[in-house]
Amino acid sequence: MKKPILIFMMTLAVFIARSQDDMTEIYKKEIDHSFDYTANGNEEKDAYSYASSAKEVTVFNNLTGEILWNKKYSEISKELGKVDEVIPMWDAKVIFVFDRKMGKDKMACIDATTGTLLWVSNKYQDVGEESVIYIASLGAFAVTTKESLTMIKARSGEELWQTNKFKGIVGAYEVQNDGSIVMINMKATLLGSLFSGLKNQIIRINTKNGDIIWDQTYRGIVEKKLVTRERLVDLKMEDNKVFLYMNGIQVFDYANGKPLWAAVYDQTPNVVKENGGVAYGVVAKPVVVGEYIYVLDLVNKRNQYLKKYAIKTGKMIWQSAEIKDAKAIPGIYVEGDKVILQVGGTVEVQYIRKIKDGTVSGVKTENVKPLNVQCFNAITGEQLWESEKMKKGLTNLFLSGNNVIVCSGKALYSMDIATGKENYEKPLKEDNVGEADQIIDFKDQVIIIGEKGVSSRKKLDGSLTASSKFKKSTPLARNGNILYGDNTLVLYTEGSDYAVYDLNTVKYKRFDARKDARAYLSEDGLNLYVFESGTMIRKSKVTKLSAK
Amino acid sequence: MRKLFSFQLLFIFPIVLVATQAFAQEGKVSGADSKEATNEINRPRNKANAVVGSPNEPSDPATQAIVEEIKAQLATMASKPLMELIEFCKKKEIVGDFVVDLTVEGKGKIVTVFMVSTPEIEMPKKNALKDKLTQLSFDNIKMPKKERVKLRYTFKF
Repeated sequence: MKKPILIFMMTLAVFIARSQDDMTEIYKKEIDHSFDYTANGNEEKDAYSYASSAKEVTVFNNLTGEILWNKKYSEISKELGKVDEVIPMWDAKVIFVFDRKMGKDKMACIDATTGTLLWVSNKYQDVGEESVIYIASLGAFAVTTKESLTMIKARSGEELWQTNKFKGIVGAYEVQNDGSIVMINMKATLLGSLFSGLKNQIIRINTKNGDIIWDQTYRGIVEKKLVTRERLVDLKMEDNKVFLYMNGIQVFDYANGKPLWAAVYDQTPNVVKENGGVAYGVVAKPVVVGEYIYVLDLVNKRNQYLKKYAIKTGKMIWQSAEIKDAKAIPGIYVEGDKVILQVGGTVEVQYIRKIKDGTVSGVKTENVKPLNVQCFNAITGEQLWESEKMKKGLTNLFLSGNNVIVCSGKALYSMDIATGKENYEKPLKEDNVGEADQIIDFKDQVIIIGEKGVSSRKKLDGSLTASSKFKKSTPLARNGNILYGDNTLVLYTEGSDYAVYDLNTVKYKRFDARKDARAYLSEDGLNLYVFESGTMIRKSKVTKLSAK
Repeated sequence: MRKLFSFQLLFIFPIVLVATQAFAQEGKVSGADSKEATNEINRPRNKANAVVGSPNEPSDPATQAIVEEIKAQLATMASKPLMELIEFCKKKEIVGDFVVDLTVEGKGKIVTVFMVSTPEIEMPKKNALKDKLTQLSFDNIKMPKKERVKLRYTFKF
């Protein structure tokens, strides 16, 4: 008799403990179809999300959960059958859908708030998300194909202009206030870039009439990540100059496109042994401080240097001594007159492996050795110190005041930037969150994202302040960021269990979703949207939860 | 006789120069969004970059000659591609005045088409006309590599 009571008490205890940690449901909406494509807009009044299968789509209001419309694609347009890709254009409040058939792609533009077809066309072949740019001032889309660039009125489908002077898909772009757009082209595949004879173009174009204001060539090949397909290129306009960040930096005159100076290396070396894998974040992005830029130069796999250039003139101020044997340099940090280099450490690895019945792909992290931290004099380029304390592991580091905070995965270190002298070394065993994957600078704390949870320690002395164990999990990113609002972070497991952490307290609230669910945390960190696709037995649903 | 000819040249040249400049001034593109249906031209002069120059830049005589040649071909509609264009519009029932900016490069190939103003016709027809225009090319045009001319023309179908 005692045993059932004990089991009951334990179950109750678990239930109470769990229910205290569970997120509060704001609404739950059943959706009448399964879905493979989902997207979540922002938190404004009219913001919406959608859940779509290949044949049917449902759009709902984020704030209230009200279903705005639900339609089969064939009802929207007779020309649409099975949809292969859905792209939201939030600013334009439209959804692009693509029905892809070899050489006969159909592209439809649908009003996201009403489900009305705006236009459908089979003229634009091989167009993807990266080929469509919304120009809000014109209420139009610039659509690139391998033959041309066309400006299309969003609501009517009217083609305002077309130019054949820009070919290939858009690698990166920046819309300017003066009505022009600066963009670079790229080929859809790396092999394509090598063998198609595609000319690398960086152009400035007048969006109103298609005039090419200038047309130049850039060096290198735009790479895309293997699995997530993010492009490894960045374009910035500053001080009447165009900065193209891609395997280094290339600078052009904004007015006439004239190449001003460049510091580029050929290609990022692949340093991982993962079968079918490619490493990313191996070489740190250039860092701009005032009128100077710090760039890594990888002459070859073994010869690597840190260089400082004057942005205006491109004059090299100094080149460091060779950074010997470094296989990865994922971080450059500048504080006052010191430059800190992170040599080795955690890099992202994406892989696609062939297996018996097809392929398997994924994203993981890997630690690349050798590992050390080096400090250089920012004025002269002279090396001041090198620390090899983290010989066995190094996740990442950040600068805080006069100190460098570094994590080896098993311990946290603080070092004096000026001397490299160690302020403390704190083992992370008592944090009880598994080995650390990453550390984040958060107020006066170091947030440690472990394999199985999150902990925090004081930056000053490294003492443990809080810790909450979860499960083996990964941070949820939105637009590349893992920190939401001021203090929110989400971890999720392979089984789609979610833990939303308040980093002030390092406590979390959880929601256990169905396996293969998808979730989006709003940018303010307040609400979690969970999309769970159904089956014959279980209905599809969307749940909005309060993360606070 | 030769002296007289030289004297005439000295006298006539400044007048021609002034007249050319005045003509060039008239030929400014009055703004990309303008609905004015005048046939205007502009050729980029920034040869270093071989790019389209400012719309307010006056055109040079070489440009004028190229533009005049293109306009003459458009006026006569005698070449094969232009006759095909007429047929195309008849077949698609495209009727009215269409003001279009055309940018032409190299050996007379059209590289950019901007539909400045069009009559109220169905969108697919309008888009189809723009597509057809981008396929046009002109005979007897020879420009240095990468140089382009831009002209505004009113097609009356």
